[in-house]
Amino acid sequence: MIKKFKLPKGTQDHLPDDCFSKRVVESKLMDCFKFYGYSEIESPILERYELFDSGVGKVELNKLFKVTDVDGDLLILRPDITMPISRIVCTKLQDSQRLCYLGKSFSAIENEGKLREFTQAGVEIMGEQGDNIDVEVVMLAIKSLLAVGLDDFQIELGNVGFFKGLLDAYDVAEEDRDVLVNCIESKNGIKLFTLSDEMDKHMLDTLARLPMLFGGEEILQEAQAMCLNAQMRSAVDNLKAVYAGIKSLGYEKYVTFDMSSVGKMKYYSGMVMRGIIKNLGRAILAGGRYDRLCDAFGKNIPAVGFAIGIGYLTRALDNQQKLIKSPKVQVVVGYTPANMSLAEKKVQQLLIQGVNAKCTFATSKQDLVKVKDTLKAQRGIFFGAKEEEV
Amino acid sequence: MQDVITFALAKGRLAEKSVDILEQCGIDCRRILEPSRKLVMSDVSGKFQFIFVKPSDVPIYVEHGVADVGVVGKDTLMEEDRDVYELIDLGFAKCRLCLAGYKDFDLSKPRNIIKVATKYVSIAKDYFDGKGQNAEIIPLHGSIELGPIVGLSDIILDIVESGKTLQENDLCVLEEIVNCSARLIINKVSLKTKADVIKPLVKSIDEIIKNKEN
Repeated sequence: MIKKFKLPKGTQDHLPDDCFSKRVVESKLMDCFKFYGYSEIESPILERYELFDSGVGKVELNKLFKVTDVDGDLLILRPDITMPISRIVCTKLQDSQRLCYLGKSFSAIENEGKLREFTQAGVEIMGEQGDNIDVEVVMLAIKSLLAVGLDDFQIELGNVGFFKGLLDAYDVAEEDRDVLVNCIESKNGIKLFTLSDEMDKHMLDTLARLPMLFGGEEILQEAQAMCLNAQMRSAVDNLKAVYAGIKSLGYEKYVTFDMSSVGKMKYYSGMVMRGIIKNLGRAILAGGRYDRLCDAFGKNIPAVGFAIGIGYLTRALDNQQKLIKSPKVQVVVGYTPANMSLAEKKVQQLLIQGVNAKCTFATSKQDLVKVKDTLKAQRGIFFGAKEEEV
Repeated sequence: MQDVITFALAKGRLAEKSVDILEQCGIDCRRILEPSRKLVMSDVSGKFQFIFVKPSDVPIYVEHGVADVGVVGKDTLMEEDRDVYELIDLGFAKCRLCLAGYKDFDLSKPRNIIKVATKYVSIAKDYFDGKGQNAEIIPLHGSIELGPIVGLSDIILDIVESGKTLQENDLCVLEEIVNCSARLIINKVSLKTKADVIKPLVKSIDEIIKNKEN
């Protein structure tokens, strides 16, 4: 295979039909975000490596897509858009913001089936905290997925405070936490048992219950009975309050809970959320509260938000035959130099009537037939000396 | 209508033992073990579907969610390192992942480079990286024991069950890395979206395994 024909690993083209469907999904999401008061923001794809080098937002070097600048500085292709937005808010805007974005992010990890370049749409609420703000963001997640036509999805909520509090209650040393996080994240109760020589037996028994502690609202009762300190209690209280808020709006059927949500535990500081749907093995939406992210800029700004993976979302829609496909061109109208505005008017009229019509320059009927074939249009109308069908 | 649950299984002993356990859970699926070239089969009720894949592909099918549940050896799971839930140690297909070689090979001696033949390339790489030992990993697909014998490698990293093959070739275990057995793995989304079937199933499998142990 000639190399110049090949794409870099983990990247893909979006051919016209695919691109059409993708844009429809993207614009529905962005319209929804804007309807609820979020302003769109854009940041460069390239950032300095230092942005992701420290603090809770630190990303491991091997996961970052690196580029060397002409002066030798290390640049990266952004792994997500949240960190750049935090940078913008901390350096250029007032602390309180409701922002949304649509753009590409990159991961250097090569893993077949996973893209290294992917589009995300998301929101960030900066400078506001409290259960009501968490309700707002969960509600927006539900509304945005409904807006693109999806239903029977679940927004799965957790709160990292529950797990953190549990580890604190048993004074688990910092170096032991990672292994426990891994166990819980992969719901690996097996490994927990192998640790029984080194760690508190009662704690491991409690941890062993976490993997199956997911489901509906009833899970919160069970979780409450397990609380050992204020941190765990406030985690459960937060989820109860969010559930009550969503219920008061009538959307509780979309909400489920998983008390073992501990992913990226350093990054998240409170509620975490994940959007999942049947027959798609991956989350279509992920987010949560990250009140410590702005610490890296010397600011104390609470924040909460989520990102939607456009690729996974369109796949989920496609699975349910809910993806909007690009409509066939019904009529193409050709014009000679003298008739341009006449033809345009004709197309506008047809569009108003709901006919998918296009306009093109054509010096002859033969010209127009060629365009008609290219666009796979059903009809052609030629504006020459007179209006005629081709 | 209830959702169909798809199992990814590797043909052979793992599949047989898995069927034993599923039968005890009340899933009538004995027929999937009948000799056949079919790659997709279902149980009598039609509520469970079984796909037969290469052992090392089981975690891949489950990670992608095209299979909801899989049964796979811990050795394969470690090598593949996929984003799945590893819920239950099924207790069968026990073996040890070991470094093996000639008896007089001193592992503790510092070396410029150590040559390791193995099927488990990424486990081997992680292991020697962790020790700060430069290693040349030689990927093989079978008869790993030949490595030291024909001088292709200094040692091998492989699973050891009885140790007989090693013995017959004058090799021995130099170091045990980890104990392995079959694991029940589940797709991270399926566990939630098909919880009404998978949650009770996991519970009954767990009980069967625990009763066996006691």
